[in-house]
Formats: sequence, structure tokens, C-alpha cells
Amino acid sequence: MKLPLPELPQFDYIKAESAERAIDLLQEKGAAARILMGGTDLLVRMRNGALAPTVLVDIKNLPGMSAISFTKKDGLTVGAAVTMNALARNSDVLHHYPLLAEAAESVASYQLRNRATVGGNLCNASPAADTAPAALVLEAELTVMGPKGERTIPAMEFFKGPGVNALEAGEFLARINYSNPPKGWKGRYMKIGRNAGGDLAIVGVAVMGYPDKDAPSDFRFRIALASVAPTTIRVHEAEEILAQNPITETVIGMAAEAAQEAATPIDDVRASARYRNAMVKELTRRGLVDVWSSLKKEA
Amino acid sequence: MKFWINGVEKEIDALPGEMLSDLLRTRLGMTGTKIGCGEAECGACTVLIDDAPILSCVYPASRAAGRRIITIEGLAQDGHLHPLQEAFVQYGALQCGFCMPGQIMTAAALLKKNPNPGEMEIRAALKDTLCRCAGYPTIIQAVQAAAKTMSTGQPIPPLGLEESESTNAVGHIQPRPDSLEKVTGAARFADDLQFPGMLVGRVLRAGVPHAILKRLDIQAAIDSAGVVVVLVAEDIPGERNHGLVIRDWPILVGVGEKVRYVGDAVALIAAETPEDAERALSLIEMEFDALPVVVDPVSANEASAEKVHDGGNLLKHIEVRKGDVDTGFEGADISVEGVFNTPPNDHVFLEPECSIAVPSEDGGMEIYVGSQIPYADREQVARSLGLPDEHVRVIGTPIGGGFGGKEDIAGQIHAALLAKACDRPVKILFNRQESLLVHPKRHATQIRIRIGARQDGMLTAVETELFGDTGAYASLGEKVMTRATTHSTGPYNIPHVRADCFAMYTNNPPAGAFRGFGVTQSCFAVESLMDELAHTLAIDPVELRRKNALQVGHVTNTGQLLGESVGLLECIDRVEAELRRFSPEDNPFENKIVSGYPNRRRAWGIAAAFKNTGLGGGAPDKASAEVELYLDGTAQVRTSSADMGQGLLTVLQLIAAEELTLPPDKVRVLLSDTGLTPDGGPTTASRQTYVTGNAVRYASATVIQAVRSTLAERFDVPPATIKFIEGLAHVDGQQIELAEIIEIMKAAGQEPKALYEYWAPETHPLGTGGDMHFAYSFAVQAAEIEVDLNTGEVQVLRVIAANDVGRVINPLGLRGQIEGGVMMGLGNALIEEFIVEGGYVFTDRMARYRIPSIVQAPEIIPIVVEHPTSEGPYGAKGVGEVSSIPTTPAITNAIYNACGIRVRSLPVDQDWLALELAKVGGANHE
Repeated sequence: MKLPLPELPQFDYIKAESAERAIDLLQEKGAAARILMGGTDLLVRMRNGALAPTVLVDIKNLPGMSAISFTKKDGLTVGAAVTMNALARNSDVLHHYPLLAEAAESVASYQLRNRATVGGNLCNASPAADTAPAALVLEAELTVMGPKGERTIPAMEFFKGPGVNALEAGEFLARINYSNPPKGWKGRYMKIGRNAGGDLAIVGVAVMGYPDKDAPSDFRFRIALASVAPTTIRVHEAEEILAQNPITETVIGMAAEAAQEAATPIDDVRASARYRNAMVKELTRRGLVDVWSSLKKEA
Repeated sequence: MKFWINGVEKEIDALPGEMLSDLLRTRLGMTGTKIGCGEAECGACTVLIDDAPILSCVYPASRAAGRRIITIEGLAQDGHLHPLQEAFVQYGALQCGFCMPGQIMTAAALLKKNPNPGEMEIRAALKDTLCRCAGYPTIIQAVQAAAKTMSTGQPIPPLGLEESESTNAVGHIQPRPDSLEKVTGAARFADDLQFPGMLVGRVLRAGVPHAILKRLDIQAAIDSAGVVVVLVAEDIPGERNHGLVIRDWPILVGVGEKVRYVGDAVALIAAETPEDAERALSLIEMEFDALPVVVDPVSANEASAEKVHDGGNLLKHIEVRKGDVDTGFEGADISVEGVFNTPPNDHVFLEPECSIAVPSEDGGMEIYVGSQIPYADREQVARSLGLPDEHVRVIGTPIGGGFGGKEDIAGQIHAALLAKACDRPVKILFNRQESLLVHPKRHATQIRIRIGARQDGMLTAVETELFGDTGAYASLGEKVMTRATTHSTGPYNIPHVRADCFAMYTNNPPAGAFRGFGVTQSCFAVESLMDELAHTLAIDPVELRRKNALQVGHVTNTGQLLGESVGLLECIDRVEAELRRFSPEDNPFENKIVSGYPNRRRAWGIAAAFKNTGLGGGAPDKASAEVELYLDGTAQVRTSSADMGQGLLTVLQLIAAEELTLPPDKVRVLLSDTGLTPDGGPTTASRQTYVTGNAVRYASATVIQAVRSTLAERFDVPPATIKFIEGLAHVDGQQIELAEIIEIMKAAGQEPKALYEYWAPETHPLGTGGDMHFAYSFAVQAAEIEVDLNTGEVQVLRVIAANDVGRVINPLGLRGQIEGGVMMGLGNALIEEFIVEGGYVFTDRMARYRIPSIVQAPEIIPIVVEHPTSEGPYGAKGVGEVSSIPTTPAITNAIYNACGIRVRSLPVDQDWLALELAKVGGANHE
């Protein structure tokens, strides 16, 4: 029997000295080449035989890949190779985007967060990716570089299926822009794993809300879910309920139920679909109660 | 590429696909950095890159270019330990020591960023840096102590554990003698050793659970590059089977023979490199005729079941009889009954199995291995090679955790066969996945139990029926399930008992020894049902246990009259007193709403346990030890017993120091070498302190006696007037140093050493009455937990753990055993499940088999109870297992008290619990 954890297959490691070189390599080698970011997921999957690229292209050192910048006008721009710990500790992130810091901090372990990158987390397009729901509710835009130059993909259009993203052949993710969210916004990332502590998300829920005089309820909310569908998803039905009705415990409950209905989880070893469904409702409710009470405090 | 390791510049290019851990360990020989899993789960491989902690097993070596790497070897500066290293040593925050690089390097990175971390910050930083010995509370204390020292410049503050006043060495705080090597990365575990010309050995596993091997083609592997030899069953020169009790486990399954579980070995390869071995492995062709798979012990016992072995599926029917249960139940006012299920568990010692076989010049074989039973390894290796036992020498390396999982043969025989065939050293290192697939697990059990009692709570009868899944091979299955059965009615005085156990073969991975040895399972069943009885009778659960607790003068269910050392009542009283301290006003067993969290409920639960010390059941239980004095003023203790982190080194050091009146630092302990150390017997059954401890004690006393008579003769004084104080003999007003004593002895033709073979008190087989065991340890634990009624999440907040250990020998080690025992019990209750589906292992990697981490560690309040044994050293008895046994039912009983759901199947799944809560309306979803 082939052991699922054999020796790591041999690969060529190429440190790309320019974006053009990286793009050329990706085009030339096709499926045999993979972008190497932190490697925390890729190398483990190579060792257990799930992936077998022969060329790993390291783009971490390309200009801007590890930069975090913030301006009032453009909001937050995060290089794809920024690590989870760097993101979670950045003062602009902590001050202006605490939701993002909370999501980054919830990923794996201290050591892995020093390597795991925001870009890697998004590009893996795992339904359980912890920073993806935040990207969805913050309506981030992903700038990719490729043979035709730069283009921008909204986060909403980036996740195509489990492990499948919107990148085309020869493209790589360069940076993520989180535009300035609406004034007065509050957000939370709620996550449940197994046994209070470790592990991947059984369910993750990002909730953000902000005052909006144009909404019948005077508020708008955005809700995104992880680990309960083939991709991370926004739940517009729930958001609509919260925009159209005065926010009460009952309305929050209705929105949580709408989120639950939007979820299409599966049974796996970490949890049953039934449990995931129930937890979507529970965590959405908790997230909404939390965000709503912060919003009320400021109002 | 150029980089800096521990401040030293290196110029060395990375190989294709090389990880930093490989570069460090294999090419630079820096083996302080350990590999526990190779899958970024355990944290043992942590090093610092430009001061940030990273997992070197998934860090491509080529990325190190231009960077500054600090490893565990580089943490000490100018000959001074880093304060973290010092604190870990002084506080006993290391046991087996395999995870130390991970703990210390991660903590070092934390302290650089945050010089004064709070407890929560330490827990967050060390979250996935796993310690299976699990002294997590002590690790937190040690990190805090180091932080304090670094900010104040003051020495590490003392730990403040109680020490013995009546003895000089025994009962005193003494860091492990191997602490220094283990915190600096200098300790050499088996995989850290290299020998000239050493080959890589690999084993081809069947990968099917039940089948006849029809065809095996090894030609392509033989022809493959770098392959030195490929071996199959026919190539074994000696015995073809191994096994600790019954030799039913094929070393290799031959063509036409039967595969009984997925981990069965079919062929062996020795090759020049891991890549060569890996490639050749994939070239071997196997064909099988599949057989129906026997998946559980209950169906295995059915008449129509497929036979796993020719003799049928029943390994042993075990019976315990006392009085007449029918009479007992007739005399009961009430009876309660339940069926409980426990899954298999894996030990997940952080050091995967590694064996190195080195042919010796005289045609013999040396085996380097971290083994719990070196002499059994020697016998089994010798038989397979067709050599006399003396031609095989087993040399023990430090053991990175054992917990019972390193008693059976792993790679020892396979490495020896390959080494013999090639006449070159061969190393077989299991990766984590092979470790999970191959070695024996904790027995899965189904336990039906019925308890009869009077209205006042006095038990009248208990009846139990157990099915134990011993998997494909016997291993220690019969012994484990015997212990499960004899302990299945709990530590109680019961007039009428009937217990039946069916230990069954199946096609699951074998089950064998695992800390608790069957009692972990039966304690969960009986203590859950005792709790149910207390609720049914509306009697306080502490009171119910107190009323029925075993005491001196009682007769156990196997007919043993307990004559001494039964500290159960004191354990109960002390835990109750502590509970009252935490819950002075309220009933601790009634639930409370957690303030600020309307969906959470909190409550305590309690459980009691007992566990034999020693082999018992009529098995000869003996240990030999040798003690020798040296001219440099030191003494050496030699015995083959193993230290797998539990602290035997320190125990023996302290006992010898006490008897020889030497400072402990002057006593060196050499363990686990069949060439140099006499047989201490198996390191199992919580027997080392008692049995091997006594061997060392009497060997030391014999040496002192010889010294005394030599001096008495030489100075012509009565022997009794000679006093020994701190290594000096006081004779007639003069002080004589050890060196001089030795010279006097040698001149008189005497060697300053003694070998002592200690025989523990005789025991009797089950069913014959009399003493089945020479001692029992007792424990009571109370756990405070919090349940989230909506999510089913359970958090253990506090555990009060009282253990009757007879007498404390090694306070630091004892604390480690209690903390680790509680954490292992917590994992057993809430987290761990080795999942096998149709004979195939699902939990084949650490990402799938989770063990407790520091974030789950509760506050642990240890209470030491000392009811001495008359025969154990200074009154001591075992504690390694009993410290872990009551934790699980204490937690599950607390869950019942918090939310009304009775756990009958382990581990407690939050998914299941949420569903049960929803059914009773405890949750507000669905």
C-alpha cells in the first residue's frame, strides 16, 4: 500500500526575480508549476500525494507582495504574500479593519501564521478559508497579474468551487484591496471548530453592519459563510431581511434562519451537515447580536 | 546559498525538494530539531527564522538563503542556559523531552515580542505545539517564570512544591538527570543517530484488512536503483512470528498466507536513500484474495463470523465471580443498567518509532531503539534471526513518549533482518502515518453493566459484560481485558459480582497496552452508572462512593483481602474538601448559568478509580538492578527498565542516593541496555517505582552493607557504629571518602558493587482467590466543566485530582504524571477517536487524530495522598496509570450535571451533544 505520507516529492524551486518571469514560468510549465507562497498548505498536500507539481515558483519577494498600506482614499491594500500574523498585528488593520485581524488571528497556529499568507488562503479557494468571508463582506477587490497585464476581480467573483479560483493560466494574485468600508461599520468573525480550540472551521461566519439612512431599517448588514457550501458565500437573503425590517431579536432570528437556509453543507468527519446547519444559524445570530449591540452603542 | 545558523555563517545549497528540517538534521547533523509528524501539526520542528517561529518541516530549505536561523542548539549563550531552558529544567516542564525544541523555541519567540505574556497569550502562542506527556500547566508556569527572570534579572523563582522532611533524597525536588540534554537539543533519540554506511529500511504494508496474499512480485524493486536488498517471508532465517504473550503476529506475510490487518508487513527493502527506498516500494506488486472483514468484537463472537485465526475469534473468555449475583440483585431495592462504548485510541507519542540494527563483528546484532521492554525485544529479534539471545544487544535510546505503545515490536525485527542480509547498519523510521497504522491501540470496548443497591445506597450486586476488540493479533490483549474485567465493578466493596469479558480478534489494527490498560474503559462505564445510581436514589454522588469505597479489611471482587494501603476514603474526603472550597455555598453538582452567557451551564462531576501496581495474576514479577561505586565519588545504577518520560531516571537516582547517603547528583543511572544492564522487566503496569525501585534500593543497601563490613573489619569496630553521611563514612571519629573506601574494598578482594534481583510479593491467577495483585493505587477526581447548550461545546475548567501513591518519591515527576494523566483522560473524554472503517484506517495522520493541546488544559489541582505499602520502596506504589483513569467519567458526569445528557459513548462529540440538547429543548435551534 502506498503510504499517504510518503517522502516529499522532489521539485524545482525557482525564486522569480520579476513578475514577468513568474508569468512566463507559469505559462511555460502549465499545471506542473504552482505558486509557492507560505507553503503551509501546498507542501503538506504535496507530501500526502494530493498535489504533485514539479516546479514551485516563489513570488514572495516581488515588489509590493509583502506590503500593507492604508490611505483614507483607497482603503487598505494588502500584498498577497502578507502573512496572517503580519496582517493581524498591523496597526492600520487593527484600527480600521478589526474584522480582518480577527479572521487572520483565527487561522491555525502561531508558527503557521508566520508563514501562511493572505493570498494563499484566498487562492486555495477552500470553503473553510478563514479570511475569505471577511473579503466577501468587505467587498475586497483582487488584483491579479498575468500575460495580459493587470486585472481586478471582485472577491464575489473569485471563488468558483472547492479549490477552484478565477485565476486564468499564467496569472497570479498580487494584492488585495479592501476599500474604505462605509462609515461607522462594525464587524465580527465567528468560528466554531472541534472541541473549543483547534482545527479548521466547522462553520465560520463573518458579519458586518453599518448605518444607512436609505435602508428602511436604517442599517445594512453583510453576512458571509465559510465551510457550509462548495465555496465561501454571501447570504443576500439574510442581508435583505435586516435592511428591510427594524432590527429586533426576532428579525435577527429570521436573518439567521435565512443564512441557515442558504447553507448547503455536507457531512464529513469534522461535523454532520445537520450540525453545520444549526451552527450557521447560531453563529450568524451571535455575530448579528454582537455587531448590532456595537452599532447601537455608537448610535 | 548563504545563511546563518545560531550565529554561524553557512554556505550550502539546498537540494531539490529539501525542507529546512532535513537540511538541519540530515546534512548539518543538528538533530535538536525534531520531527513528530511531518505534516505541520505538532510543532516539534519549530525553529526561528529572523526571530519568527516557523515549522521547519514545511519550510523549503532554499528559502533560508540570507536568513538568520536559531535552533534549540543555539538558544544557550556563552555556556549559559536561556532562562526558558533553566525554568523548564527546574520546574520539571519536560518529561520525555521530544517536544522541547517546539515548546522552548516557540516560547522564546513569544517572549521576544511580548516580554510579559499573560496566561492566555502563552496558551495562544503554544496552541498547536503539542506535548503528549502534557505537562501543560507546568509549561505555562515555566514560561512565566522565565519571563520574570528575563525582565528582573533575578534567578528562576523556586516552584514551592512540598518536600519530604524525613528523608534526604527521596521525596525531594530533583530535576531529571537528562534535563540538560533535552532542553539544549543534545539528547540523541534513535532517529538522531547515524552510522557509517547506514541504509534506509522500509516496510511494504498489505493495505488490505483481511485477505490471502496470492502473488508477490519483487523483481522490479530488486532491480531498482539504490536498492541493496528486498526480503520476503521465506528469507527469515528463524521464527516467522513474534508476539509478547502469544506468537501469532507474522513478521512478514508470505504468499499463500493470511493478511489480518492493513498494517501487516509483506516485504522489506533496504536502500541507499529514502528516495530509492520509496521508489522501490512502489514497484512491488501484490495480489490478494479478499476475505470477509471482521469489524467489531460483538459480531466477531457470532457463530457465523469469519475466522481471523484458525482457532477462532475468541482470544479469551475472562470470568470474575464473587458470591451469587442473583441473591445480590434479589436483595436490592433498585437496579440500574447501561451499555457503554469506547473507541480505539492511539498513543501519539511524539517520537515515531525508530529502530536501527547494526551488525556486530562477531556475527551478532545491535539494536538501537526506544523500547519499553528491551529484553523482550532482544528475545524476539534473536528468535527471528535464529541467534542465541546473547548475540543480540538492545541498546535503549531516549524514548519520546511510550504510554504502552512501545511494548510490542515495531521495526526492531525488520531492521535486524535487513541489516543481517546486507551486513550494513539499517534504520527503519516510521513516519507518523505508519506509526498510526501499525502499532497496537487502546482496546475498543462495549461494556454492559448493571448495579443493584439498597435504598440507603449500599451496593448489593454488580454484573458486567465486556467485549474487547483486540484486533488482528493478541499483543497484550488478554492481560488488558483481564484488567478491564477485574476493575469493571469499580473500587467498591460489593458482596456479589459476576463479570464476563470476551476478548475478540477482529481485522482492525491490533490493540494492546495503553496507559490505564483496560481500566480506563471500564472505569468510564462503572463510574457513569454509579452517578446514575446516585441521581436515581437522590444520594450525593460523593456520599454514594464513600459508603461503598474499598477499605482495609474488604475483599475485592477477585477474592483479595485488602490488608493495607487503601487510601480511597482519604482521596474522597480531600477532593470533597477542595470542592467545598470552590463551591462553599452551593451544591457543586447542580448546574449554574454562566454569568454573561445565558446559553452556558457549568457544573462539577466526580469519579473514583483504582488500578493495580505490577503484573499480578500469578505472573512472576521481578527486577534486577546493579549498583556500583566509583573512585570519583559517584555511583552508577544499572537496570534495563525504561524511562519514557515518566521519571524513572529520577526515581532510581533518588532511591540510590537515599540508600547510599550520596547527594542525588552523584548518582548516575544507566537504563535499557541488554549488554550492560540487568533485566528490570517490562516497563508497564505502573510497576517501575515499586519493583525496579526496590531492586535498586536493595542493591544499594547491599553495597552499603559490604562497605560497612569491610570497614568494620579494617578498623576493627562494630559494623553498627559506622555512619554514612553525605557520601562519607564516619568510622571511629574519622571521615573516610568514597574513593578510599573503594580502595580498601579492592585491596580486600571485594568489588564495590552489588547485583540484586528483587521479587515482588507473590500473586495468584484470577479465579484462584488470594492476592491477585500486591498493591493497588487509588484516585478520585472532580472536574468542573462548561457546556454550551447551543453548540454542544464542552470546556473543562478545573480538575481536582487526588492520588493515593503510597509515598511520594519524585515530586516533580509525580506532578508531571498527574497533569499528563488528566490531559490524556480529557482527550479520551472529549477529543480522541481512532477511526477504522471496514478495517481501513481513516485517522492515518495527525490532522485527523487530534490530541489535547495547551488551550484545552484546565486548571489542575493535584492532591497527594500517602497510604504506604509495607513492601514498596519507602511505601510507594504506582501512579502512572491511575492518575489518568477517573478523568473521563469525572468529565462526563459533570456534563450530565450541567445539562442532563448522559454520555454512553466516547468521545463526547459536540455534534451529538448539540443534537441531544436540541431533543430535550436545551438548545434554541431546530
